[in-house]
Amino acid sequence: MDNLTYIDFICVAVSLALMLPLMEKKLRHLVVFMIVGISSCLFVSELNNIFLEMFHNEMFYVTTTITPVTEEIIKMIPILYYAIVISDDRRALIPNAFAVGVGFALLENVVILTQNVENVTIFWALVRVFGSGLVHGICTVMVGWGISYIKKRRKFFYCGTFALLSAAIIYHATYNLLVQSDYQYIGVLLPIVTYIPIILLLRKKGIKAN
Amino acid sequence: MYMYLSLALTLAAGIGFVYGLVRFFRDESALYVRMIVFGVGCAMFGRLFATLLYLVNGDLFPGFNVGMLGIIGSFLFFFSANYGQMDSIVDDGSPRFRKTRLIALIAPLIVAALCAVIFVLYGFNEATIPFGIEALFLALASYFHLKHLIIEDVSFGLIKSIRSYNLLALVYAALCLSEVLVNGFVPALIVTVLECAVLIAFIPVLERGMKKWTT
Amino acid sequence: MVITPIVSTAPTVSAANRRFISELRVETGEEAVAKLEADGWSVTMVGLNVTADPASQVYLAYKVNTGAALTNVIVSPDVGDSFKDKNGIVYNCVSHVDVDEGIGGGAGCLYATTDERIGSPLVGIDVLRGNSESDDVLYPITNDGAEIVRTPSGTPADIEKGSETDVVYLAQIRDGIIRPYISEIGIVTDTDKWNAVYTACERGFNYYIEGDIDSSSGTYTIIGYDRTANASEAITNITAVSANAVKALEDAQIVDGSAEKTKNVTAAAISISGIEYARVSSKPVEAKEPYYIYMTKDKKAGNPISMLYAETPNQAQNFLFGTWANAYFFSPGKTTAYTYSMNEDLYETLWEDQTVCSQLPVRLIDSFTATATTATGPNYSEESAEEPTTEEPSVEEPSVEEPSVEEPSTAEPSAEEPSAEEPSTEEPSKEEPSKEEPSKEEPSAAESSAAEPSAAEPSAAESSAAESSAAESSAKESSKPAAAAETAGSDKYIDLTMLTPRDGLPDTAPSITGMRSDPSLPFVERTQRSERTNKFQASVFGNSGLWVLIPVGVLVIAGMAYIFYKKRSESKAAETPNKTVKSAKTGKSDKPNSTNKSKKTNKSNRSKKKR
Repeated sequence: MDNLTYIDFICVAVSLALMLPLMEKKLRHLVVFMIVGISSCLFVSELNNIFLEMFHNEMFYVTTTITPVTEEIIKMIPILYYAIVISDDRRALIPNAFAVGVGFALLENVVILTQNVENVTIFWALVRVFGSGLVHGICTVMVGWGISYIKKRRKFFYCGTFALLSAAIIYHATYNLLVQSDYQYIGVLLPIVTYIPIILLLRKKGIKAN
Repeated sequence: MYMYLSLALTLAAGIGFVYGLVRFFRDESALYVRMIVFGVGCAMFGRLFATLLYLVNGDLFPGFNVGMLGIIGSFLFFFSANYGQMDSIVDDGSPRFRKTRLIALIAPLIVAALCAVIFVLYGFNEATIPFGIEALFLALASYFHLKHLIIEDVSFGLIKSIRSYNLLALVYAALCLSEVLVNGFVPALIVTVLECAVLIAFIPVLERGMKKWTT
Repeated sequence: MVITPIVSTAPTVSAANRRFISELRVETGEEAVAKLEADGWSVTMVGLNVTADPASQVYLAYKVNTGAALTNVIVSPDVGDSFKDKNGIVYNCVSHVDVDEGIGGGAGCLYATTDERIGSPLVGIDVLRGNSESDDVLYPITNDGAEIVRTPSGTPADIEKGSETDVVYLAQIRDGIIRPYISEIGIVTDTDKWNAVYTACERGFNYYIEGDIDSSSGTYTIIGYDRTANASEAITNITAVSANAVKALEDAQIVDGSAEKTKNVTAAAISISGIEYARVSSKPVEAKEPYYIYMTKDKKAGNPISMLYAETPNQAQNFLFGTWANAYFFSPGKTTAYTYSMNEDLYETLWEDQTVCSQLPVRLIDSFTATATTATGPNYSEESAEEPTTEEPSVEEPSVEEPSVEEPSTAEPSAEEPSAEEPSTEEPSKEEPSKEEPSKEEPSAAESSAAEPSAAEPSAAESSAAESSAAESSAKESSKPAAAAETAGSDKYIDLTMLTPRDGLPDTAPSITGMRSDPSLPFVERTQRSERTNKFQASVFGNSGLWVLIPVGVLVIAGMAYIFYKKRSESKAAETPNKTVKSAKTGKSDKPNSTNKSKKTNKSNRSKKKR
């Protein structure tokens, strides 16, 4: 059997890519960013595997110390690139950033599903979606939102970006830590508890242009 | 036991962060102060991670753990705020402030010296190198804190009014470094108590100073 | 010490209705797995060679049924369809395919036997891979109940012999994996940990204790051991004796200076409280004060030992203590390899009394001479050390008459074994000065030996030498070393902690995570050690490696660069009309832009304004 991760990637990403020509520009951007997120996930999976081997297959250590760093850095690159080269308009940046996170989580869920197909349940699916799915989205939004503030000022840019990345990494690592512990249900609740206030705030105030 | 110290720091930073959110994020406020609030928030997340790691794993990982990024991130926010926002206002780059700039170098030098002490005491290894990296960011931030503490105020009291904040930030930097140096529970407890006090006081002190900007 | 009956928790092996590995097969080639599986073979998940090319991979397959069970597998150069090893065990060739064929060959072929003398039937076989250059080192001893497949000479069989970096071992798992008692121990010193473990494996040990017990920096010393399900074969006590004390004992044998050869006398066995202990190492272990390790299987010494620990050797206390284990092999899903229970009070008590053992009087037994002479010289064989002499002489004190020194050590009986009175044992042969005497008044061994001819004629004469106190280092200084008293509490002593279960092993069978609940099913496929029970996997992991990343990364960077370039040229074009206007005002001429371009520029200007 060929590599299932790549099969998953082709099934998901190519299907989405085929939709692109039919979409209007704004929507197309979102889908493109989803595909970028999916591709990031594929890239990161290989990178993570290298680190896992490097750290003696210590899954707990790697997933709480290494993979949050690699995943957040890789996910941040397209957002950063978009902000620098294309537009730092917050109204575009935040949804696109979220799309990257969702795309990432999408492939991650599919890959883990195919790796554990005999053990998954509806509950598992809900946990994956509301847990890790949201974590990836929130982390990229955190970075995208921050970049929209600091991009204009060169003096802020480098340090600010790094600081935002640190915050996203810690958030992600905290989730990974909890979800693998006896307190896994708290871990699952963490992104939901974070997501709801953000959504309420944005719905109330809207996303302001820069 | 150390988990409780870490928890105390999380709570203290959390109090500071929430206070900052409430005071500066409801209405339009200066980006400078928002970045300081983010810095405190970042410290909170870092400490929270360390606390949870104690809880789940029983101890921190030797050497690097993600919680350290919280401290690094918080000092980067402080640094960004000072360097990107405030410094260009209070220092126009003229030779008149050259002496101040030179004196301010004392802060990173002290950090470097403390760092050297750590390396001498504990060696250059997996456990100390991450602290060395942390100290680098700490030194960057402390330069501007000291500079803004001693610089002559030519901007209508702008910097003078937040000197106490800069002093607190310097103390916090020193306390963060001393975390590595202290040995035993009691010294750790003392450092933690001081850090908690500083973390809680950060935003209110800054707010009090900022009020003078508008009066 | 109360000895309670020990209940063996090992499952009994009855091959009648049990299924074991009865057939093995080695195949190579791209279609091998499909073909084997179609024929009803189970194929190990990992190939035998470290190669990504399935065409050159070598696969191991097995069948589990109620047929004649295989009892041992070895890797040997291809010497035909069968051969007989030095013990007379006949091995049949599994396949003439070289197990290292994928990488170049040279390791040899698999041979297997069904001879029951070699051990219990095999219930599992596994492929273990490691890379010697990475930190993730694969040791030739796994400590989890599995045995590394060896060559006929006993060395661990590295299937990836051709590779300098990769190591591949086969691990076989026998039935009756529950072996609660330690049956043999040995000290192995080598240049580093891996080599030490390798040597221990070569010497037949299937377990080792983590930790370098040697204080010298250039060497790594471990304790290798093996386990048994039979309580009667178990070691019941292990003790450390200062090298100085041993030297004193040995010197005490040399009463006749003319007998040079007796200088080679080795204290291969000693008596402590009347129980004979055999030495397990030929050289002393380097420590604050070098010491030898002695062990006994005498039931009077305590209950069987189930667990040994080595603590960091930089502590003043020494390192050994045993306790009983409920389960003793790796349980997937747990972070710890061992689950054991221990009576807290017992632990506390013995922890506080660590010095007790070091104060035990150490004497030569009567049979010492015989043992010593057979085991003279530096090349003292482990075997003899590990097999304590069976004869436990009566409590006879030959040295009693020795006027010279009273043995203070005996005056300080150990807390645990007040029977310090243990007299030295008596040599049946010639020696018989014996007088029954309370140990307290025992004279020094030196004296006694002096009176004896033993030095000259080790085998016979020594008899009385029997007496030597555990005078540790202080004994050496004394002109009559053996007579010197033990100096209680001195930090020169090796503080030994030894725990044996007073109440025996728990009656209930151990619950072991990871074993199949149905004992009739073989324990074949083991979960990887690193694998954790992880219901909500935290991160995604691929399996293709770095080679995929490079082209993807290049493509992404190229795409990004293209967009960046395009954007930049657009923005430059946008700036051009402004320049044209400026130059028109200043009278300088610029090349007019094409219509298309100026349209674009206007458009982008508009969009900018709009924004």
